Amino acid sequence: MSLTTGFLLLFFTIVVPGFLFLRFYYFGEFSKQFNPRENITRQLLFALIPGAIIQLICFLLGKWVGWITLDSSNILSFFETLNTQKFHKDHEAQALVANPVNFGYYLLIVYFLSFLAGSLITRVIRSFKWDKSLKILRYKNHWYYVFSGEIFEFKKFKSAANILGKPSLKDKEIQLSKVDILLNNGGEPEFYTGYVVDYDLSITDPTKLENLYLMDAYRYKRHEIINGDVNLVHPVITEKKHIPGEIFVLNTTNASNINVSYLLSEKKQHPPKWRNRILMTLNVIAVILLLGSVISIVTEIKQIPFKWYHDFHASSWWLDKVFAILICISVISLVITEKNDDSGKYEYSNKEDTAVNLIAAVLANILFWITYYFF
Amino acid sequence: MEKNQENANFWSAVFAVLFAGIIIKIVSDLLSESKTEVISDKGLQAINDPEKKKKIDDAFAESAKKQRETGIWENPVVDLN
Repeated sequence: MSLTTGFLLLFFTIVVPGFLFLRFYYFGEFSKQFNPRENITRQLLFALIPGAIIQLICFLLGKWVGWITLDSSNILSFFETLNTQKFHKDHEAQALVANPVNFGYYLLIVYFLSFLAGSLITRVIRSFKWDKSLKILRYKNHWYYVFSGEIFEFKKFKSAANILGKPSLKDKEIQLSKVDILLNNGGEPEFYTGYVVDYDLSITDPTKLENLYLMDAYRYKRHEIINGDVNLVHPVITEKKHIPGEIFVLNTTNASNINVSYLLSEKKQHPPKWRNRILMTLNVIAVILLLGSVISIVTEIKQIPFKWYHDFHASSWWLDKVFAILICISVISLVITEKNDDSGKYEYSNKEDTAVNLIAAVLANILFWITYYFF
Repeated sequence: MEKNQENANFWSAVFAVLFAGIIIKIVSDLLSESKTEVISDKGLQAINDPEKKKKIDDAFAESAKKQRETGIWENPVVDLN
C-alpha cells in the first residue's frame, strides 16, 4: 500500500511533468524520439530528470511567491513517511494532503510549466541553431538534417567544405533535395530517383528510415537486348521509366545506399535584423496602444490617472467617442509598417495611403471638436 | 498618497500589457524560426509547375554533366521566383 501511494505521488509530481516536458521538447520532425510505447522504463528514467528539475523550480517559485508554506525538509520527510507507513504520525504529511484541491491546482500549474518549458527550450535551441553547433543538443533524427540540407551547417561539414574550397552556402537557400536510391530486396537491385517531400522513421528506432515519399519519381530498369541466339551474351541497357501518380511511397528498409543532391537558390538580401526587430516591436506597441485607446474611449477606466480623460467621459456623447476613435486609428496607423513578402523588409505605407490617413486624422479632429463643443 | 498608488498601478498595468505583447511577439518569432521542413514551399510549388520543373531537371542534368567532365559535384542553383 505504501509503495503504491509513494509511487502514485512520485508519478504525478515528477514523472508526469517530465513526460510532458519531453513530449513537447521533441516536436515536429523530432517527435519520434519520444515514444513511451516503445521502451517505457527507459523513457520513465529520462522523464525523471527534467521532471525533478521542473518540480524543484516550481516548489521554490511557489515558496517565493508565498503559495507554499512547507519547507523542503518537510517534503522529504513526507516521502519518508509514505515509505515507512507512518502516515498518521506525521502532521506535515497530513497537512499536505488535507487540501487536495489546492494540491491539484499546484499540479496543474506544474504541468502547464512543463509543457511551456519543453516547447520553448526546444524552439530556442532550433532558432539559435544550437543543435547544429553542439552535438549534445542534436536530435536523433539525422535524416531530417540530411534531407533538409541542414547537415551542411554542422561544424564537421563546414570545416570539410572550407578545406575542399567549396563555395559557401551562406548566401544560398536549400529548396529541395533529390534522391537516387538503390534497394536490395534479395533479387535484382532496384534503383529509384525522385524529389523528397516526406519520410517516415522506424517506430522502434528513430534513426532508421522506413519510407520515403517521392514526387516525380522514376525507376531505372535494366534490360537485356535478346536478339537471336539465347546462349549469347546480350548487351544490357538501363531504361528510365516515369512512375505515374502524385506521390510514390518507397519502403526503404532494404536500402543499400542513398545519394542526395540539393537544389539551391540565391538567398534574398534580407534587411538588417535590428531594423526589422525595431519596426516589429513598434508594430506590437502600436496595436496595443490602438486597442487600449479604443477600449478606454468606449468605456471609462477608473484607474487612468488623468483628469482630462475623466472630464472627457463626463461630457462626451457617442458621436464624440466615434470621432475620437477615428483620430486614434488614423494617427496610430501612420506608424504601423507592413512586411513586404518579396524583400522581407518592413515598410511604411505608400504616399497615397499616408495622405489618406492624414486627411482622415485632420477631418476626424475637426469633426470631433465641432461635436464636442457645439453639441 | 492614494493618487500616487493609482498612478503606480496604472503605469504597472501599461508596462505589463506591453511586456505581454513583446513576449507574444518573441514566442511567435521563435515558432516561425524553428520550423522543420524537408522541402520549402517554393520548392514544392516548383516541382508542380511544368515550366519550373523543366528548369530544375535541366539544372540537375547540367550539374551531372559538369561532374562527369570535372569530377566535382556542384549542387544546381535555380531562381524559383
